[in-house]
Amino acid sequence: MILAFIVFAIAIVITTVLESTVMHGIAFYDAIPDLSLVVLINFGFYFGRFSGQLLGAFSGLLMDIVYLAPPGFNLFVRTLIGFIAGSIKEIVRLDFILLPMAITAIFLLTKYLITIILSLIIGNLANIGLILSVRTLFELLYTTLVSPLLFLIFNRTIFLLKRRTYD
Amino acid sequence: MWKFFRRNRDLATLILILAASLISLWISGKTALAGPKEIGMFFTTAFQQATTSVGSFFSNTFASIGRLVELQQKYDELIKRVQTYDAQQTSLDQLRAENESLRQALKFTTSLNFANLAAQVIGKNPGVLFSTITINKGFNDGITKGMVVIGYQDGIRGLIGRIESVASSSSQIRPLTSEELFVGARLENSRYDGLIHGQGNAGQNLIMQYVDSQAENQIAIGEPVITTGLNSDFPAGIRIGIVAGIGGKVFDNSLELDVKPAVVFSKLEYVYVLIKKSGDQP
Repeated sequence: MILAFIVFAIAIVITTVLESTVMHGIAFYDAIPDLSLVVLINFGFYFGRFSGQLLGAFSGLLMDIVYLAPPGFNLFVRTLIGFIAGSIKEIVRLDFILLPMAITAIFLLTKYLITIILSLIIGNLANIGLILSVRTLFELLYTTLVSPLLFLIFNRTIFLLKRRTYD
Repeated sequence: MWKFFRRNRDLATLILILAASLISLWISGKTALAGPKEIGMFFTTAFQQATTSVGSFFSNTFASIGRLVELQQKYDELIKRVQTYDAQQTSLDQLRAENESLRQALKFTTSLNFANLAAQVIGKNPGVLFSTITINKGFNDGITKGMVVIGYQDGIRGLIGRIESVASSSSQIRPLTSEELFVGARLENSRYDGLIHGQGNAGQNLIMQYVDSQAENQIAIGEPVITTGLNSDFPAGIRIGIVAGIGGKVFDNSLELDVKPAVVFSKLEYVYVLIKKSGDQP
C-alpha cells in the first residue's frame, strides 16, 4: 500500500512536471490533457477514498506550488476528487476503453464544477471565466481520449504491485 | 471526538484537509469570501466570458478558413507562375539550341562559294513521308523553281534537293530521297560516275545506278559520293552521301550502289538555297 502510494506519488510528480513543461509541445488549441488527474482517479479506484484523498492532497499541494496558485486551492479540489474516486472503488475494472473515457470525462466535469463552486466561495471569478472557455472543452476531449492508455498502464502497474505484495 | 474520528476516518480526514485548504486560502489574503454583489456578478461575467470565448473561437475558425482560401489562391497563383517560368525555360532552351544551330549555319554560309539564302524548314508533308519539304522563303526573296538546296549537319555540307514550286513567301523542295529526283553523282575517290535517286522514303538509303561494273574492285564501303555538276542544275562537289553497299544484277554491266545520305532529313531545321545569278555557274 505504501509502495503503491509512493509509486503513484512519483507518477503524479512526473505528470505534473510534464504538464507544465514539454507537453505544451503537443497542446491542442492550447489545451493539455490533465494526466495527473487520471493518475489520481486510478489510484482512488484501486485503493479507496482514504488513500485517494491523501494522494489528492499531495497532488493539490504540488500543483499549488508548481502553478503558483493561491495556497490551498488545488489542495481543496484534488482532495475532493481523490475522495470521490475512492468512493466508487474498482468499478473501472469492467472495461478498459469506454468506461475509463466516460469516468475521466465525468471527473473532469466534477473538477470544473468544484473549481467553480470554490471560486464562487472565495470570490475568484477569473477562474470561472477560464473554465467556461473552449480551451476547457478541448482539455476535456484531449484527456478523455488519452485516458484509456493511462488506465491500461496503471492497471498493469497496480497488478504488479499487488503481486509483489502477495509474494 | 476521537471516537467519531476513528469511526469516520475517511470523512474526518477530508473535512480536515478541506478546512485546512480553505484556511490557507483565507490566510493567503489573495482571495476574499464572495458577497452578494460578487455572486450576482458571477452570472453576468460568466455568461459574458463564455459568450466571448465561444464567439472568438468561431471568429478565429472563420478567419482560419478565410486564410486557407487566401493561401489556396496564392498557391494557385504560384503554380501558374511556376508554369510560366517552365514555359520560359523551355523557350530559353529552344532559343539556345537555335542559337547554336544558327552559329554553325553562319560559319557554314560564309564558307560557301555560292550566293545562298538561308531558309527555315516550316513544314514536311506527313502524308507522303517527307517527299516534300516546305521552307519560309519564296519568290519575294528571289527564289525560283529549280534552285538547288543544300543543308549543313554535324559539320558536313550535304545535298538536300531542288526547289519544285515557289510561292510568294514559301517554297517546296523535292528532296533527294524522292523517287522522282535524279542527280548526277560521282564516287569521290574512284571517280566513277552514276545517277542517284531516292526510294520515296526519308528513312531509306539512296540508290546510285549506272556505275561501271569495272569499278567493283575499286569502290570501298564508306567512300563519299558527290555531285558531278555535269548537265544539271546541281553544282559539282556537293556531298550526297557515302557508299553503304555494293550490288547489281549479274547480267548487267553496271553496278547499283546503296548510298547513305549525308544529311538526316528528319532532323532538318535550316537549309540554304543556292542563288542563281546571270553568269554564275552554280
